[in-house]
Amino acid sequence: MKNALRLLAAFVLAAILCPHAAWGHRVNIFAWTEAGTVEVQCGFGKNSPARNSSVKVFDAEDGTELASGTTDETGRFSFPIPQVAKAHGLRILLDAGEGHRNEWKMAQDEFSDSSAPATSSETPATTNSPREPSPARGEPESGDAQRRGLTEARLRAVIGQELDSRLAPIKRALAEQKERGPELRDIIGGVGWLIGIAGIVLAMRRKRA
Amino acid sequence: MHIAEGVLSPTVLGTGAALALAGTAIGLRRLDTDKIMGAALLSAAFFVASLIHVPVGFTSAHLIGNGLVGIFLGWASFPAILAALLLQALLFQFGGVTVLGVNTFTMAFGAVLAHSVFRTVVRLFPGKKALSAAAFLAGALGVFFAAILTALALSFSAEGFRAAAVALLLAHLPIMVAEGVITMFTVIFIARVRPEMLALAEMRDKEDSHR
Repeated sequence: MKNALRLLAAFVLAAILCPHAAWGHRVNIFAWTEAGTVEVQCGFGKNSPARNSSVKVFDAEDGTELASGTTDETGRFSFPIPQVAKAHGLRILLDAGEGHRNEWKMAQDEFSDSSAPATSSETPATTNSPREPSPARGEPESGDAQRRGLTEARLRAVIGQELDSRLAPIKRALAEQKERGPELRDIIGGVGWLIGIAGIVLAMRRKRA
Repeated sequence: MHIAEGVLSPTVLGTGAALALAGTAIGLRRLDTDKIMGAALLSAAFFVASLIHVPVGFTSAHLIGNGLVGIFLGWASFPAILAALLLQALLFQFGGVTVLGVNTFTMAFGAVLAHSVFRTVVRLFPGKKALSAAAFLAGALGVFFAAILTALALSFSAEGFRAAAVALLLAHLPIMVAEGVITMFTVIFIARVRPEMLALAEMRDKEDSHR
């Protein structure tokens, strides 16, 4: 038993010493929106992307398939945001083969209007119109309000685009944060559980004997 | 070697669970009370082994350790591996709770087969070199059998058996070598300091009584 203990200690040490590779067998998927597309990143951990893996995109509510494809050399896959995403949300399924599978869910509110690509066909004249608080926003009659509306729409699009490009790295970092590997706490906790279970079995057998 | 949630059909999951349950029952019956703590420590070693990544090639393979567990525990590998896999599923999200039966069966039955290979080789060829060879073989074959059984489980669902088996075996080739070497050194060491853990004496006695 002393030797089993020694073996275990060696294994724990080895596991702690290679934390980068500490999550071998789970495939990870995360996705975020970026300028009108959804970017999907798939991998088995740091520096080990899931190449040529099948990705399927489903409507999160009724389950219809919206897009599908395979990841590239860097484990990336991207597709334009489908129309129904704003109403239903998306479910992205990754199948990396040999029993490796994972999914990522995106809720409706991740697809706000600002994520849509800006339409550049708007009249340039409206950009110069003075900005003023518009109490008459709900009235469609006046040409003034219409012009202001266009300005607002364009402004929203520009801000949305800019925010998207600035926020993309943050969204990505947040997504990655969610998928962290096992920590020392988990390792020690698991070992403790196993020894505890053995203790319970021992106690039960002793009572019976 | 952990199959994730949602890959297998309910029939395969049910069959795996039934087989794992049967194996665990046999294993618990055969597990001597004074071996329980040793089994728990081996179970813990198995639990941790899957965090050790072997950085060969481009694969994502890690150690498994079922051959090593099998040599010492035989059928008692079932409860030991079941407990370790449950904790891996809960704490590391490796595999999953619904796939627990299938994953337990593939790895623990691989361990049982590795155990019988080890015993057969040791019985046929007494001697130190044969012991090393038997340990290497058992360590490597534990992974091999687990890969074959995993491919079998997958073949009932999506991928064909051949494709899955080839992919799994290729990915685990470096692991098989690594496990063989680790198992060999562990067994040599234990044979020197605590031979009764391997029950070698008991095997030799049986052999003598046959003569």
